[in-house]
Amino acid sequence: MNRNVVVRTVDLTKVYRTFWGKMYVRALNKVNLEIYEGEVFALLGPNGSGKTTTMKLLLGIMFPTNGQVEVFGKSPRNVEIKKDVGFMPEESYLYRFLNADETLRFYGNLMGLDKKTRNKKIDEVLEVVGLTEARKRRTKEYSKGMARRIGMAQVLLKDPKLVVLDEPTIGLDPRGAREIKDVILELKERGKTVVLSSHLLADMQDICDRIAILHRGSLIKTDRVENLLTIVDTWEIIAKNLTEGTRQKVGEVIQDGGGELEKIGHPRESLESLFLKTIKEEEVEK
Amino acid sequence: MIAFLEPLKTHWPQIQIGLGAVCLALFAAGASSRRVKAIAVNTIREELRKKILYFLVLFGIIFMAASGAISKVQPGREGEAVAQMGLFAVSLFGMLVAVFAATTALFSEIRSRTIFLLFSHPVWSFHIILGKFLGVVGIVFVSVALMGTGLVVYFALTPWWPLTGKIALGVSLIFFQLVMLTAMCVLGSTFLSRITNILMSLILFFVGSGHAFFKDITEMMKVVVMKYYILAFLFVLPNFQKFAVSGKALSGELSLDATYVLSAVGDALFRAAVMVALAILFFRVKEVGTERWE
Ligand SMILES: Nc1ncnc2c1ncn2[C@@H]1O[C@H](COP(=O)(O)OP(=O)(O)O)[C@@H](O)[C@H]1O
Ligand SMILES: [Mg+2]
Repeated sequence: MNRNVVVRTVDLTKVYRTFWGKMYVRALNKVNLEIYEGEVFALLGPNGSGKTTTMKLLLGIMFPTNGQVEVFGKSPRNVEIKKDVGFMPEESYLYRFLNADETLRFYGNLMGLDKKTRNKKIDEVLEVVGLTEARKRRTKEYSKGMARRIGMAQVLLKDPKLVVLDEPTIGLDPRGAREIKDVILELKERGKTVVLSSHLLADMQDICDRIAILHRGSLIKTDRVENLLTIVDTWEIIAKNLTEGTRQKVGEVIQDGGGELEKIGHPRESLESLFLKTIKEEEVEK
Repeated sequence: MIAFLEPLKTHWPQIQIGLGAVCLALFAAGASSRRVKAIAVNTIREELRKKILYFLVLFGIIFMAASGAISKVQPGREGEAVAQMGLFAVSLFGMLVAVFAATTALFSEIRSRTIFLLFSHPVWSFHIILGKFLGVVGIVFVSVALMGTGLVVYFALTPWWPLTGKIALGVSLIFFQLVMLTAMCVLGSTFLSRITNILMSLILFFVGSGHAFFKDITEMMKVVVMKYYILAFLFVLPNFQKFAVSGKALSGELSLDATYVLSAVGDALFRAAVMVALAILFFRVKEVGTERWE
């Protein structure tokens, strides 16, 4: 497929120095990524695997220790590209002394929106994230879920070409998570590129096009969700309303054809097990 | 000194006024940026919604009132004594407001990690630093204006009313003194920890407030190398003393002409601009968010 690359990293490496440089944490090790226009790309990995670090580097918040990162073909330190990038941080770090309205007006001003457009759009996005009622309340009174929604509202207000969401569903109940995921799908529909991270694997399966698996700062695997999850030498027949008799017949047909019936049962989610397997392989190799 | 520096020296006050005017124009140009304005307003809002600021201003006013009530010095000189105490109080509490607000401004943004979201928007370190600086200057202005107005009104209503004009001038000079201090703290916050920054600022404010005294004792030093180092340091260090309206000025022994006042203001604006520019440069190369707070 010939698609525009939105984010490219080349041997991206980040080492944190703590205790006045006496201790090193290699948070990211030679990560090579290409993220294409219009796709939903997920960084998957357990806590501490370097997802947030990757995002901070591609937002130009932090600087790489080694390697390069390009966003829209430019350095993320370039202020110009920040107009096209929206970010929702892991925990919604909010100004506790502001209410939702003031928070969004502040960011609206940074985005350079004029007053009328800004206020109109704020009304809209508050409606989308369902915070219209709470808009005059200080953010320090907000629940975790509400705080996430402001983070999302701020992204929607900017309406950028590239959306970076750090653990967008963390701390949300299933309904809240579903709502956020619907917003993400809508962004994709409108042609946005979405980069998101999660340590909840199964959670992201249904909305991502491609995933990258990170473990201890290294990229283990990148592929389309279907490819990663397809077990090529095994077949799955999905059928409805099978009677006991039909199931037996199917088994016979398979055996007659020289095949092997492994199991007949109900389908399950499998991303989680895939992840754990990949991690295990990695650890055995080391 | 060197001959070609002589004309510079004789016209120094005019040069300072000119530089000050240029810097004022630069600040005004910067403040007209919407992003700078947004950050400045947000800084002011943050401070105004904390209670501590009101306490400081309130204490300042109580301190002034109390010092007015207890000062019983030379008969005929009470007015000047009360005026000096009052100005001292404005300067002291104004300084606390400036140091507190200016060392917090950037720090709280980093600690609460709101800086990450700030950096995901099209803002440069220029917008952030200048916005923070101007925001704190706004807070200092409001605090000094509140305390200063109290002092001026009080004097206008007493038999010491002829001192009112000098007090108003004194309060204005304190404001510019604190503008310089604010710039110093903002600069410090780009490379020092908050505690170090507060301590450094207090010490430098103290030394700079006794500028003449420290200069005199340094001149008497025997170790030449050391002496020139200290003199150079005192040259770079803002001379906060210049902005204190002294007893002599209040009694009329020393006249405060327009050139003196304007050149002091020019000096303050120029030094503030240089410190803010340095802060912007330092902040540009600083990588925020690598600190851990857990
Ligand atoms: N500011 C920091 N200083 C030192 N180490 C850090 C810092 N931030 C993250 N790390 C370390 O870097 C690694 C990756 O962290 P992070 O990118 O936050 O992971 P994730 O987002 O996947 O949970 C972890 O081992 C973490 O402890
Ligand atoms: Mg993280």
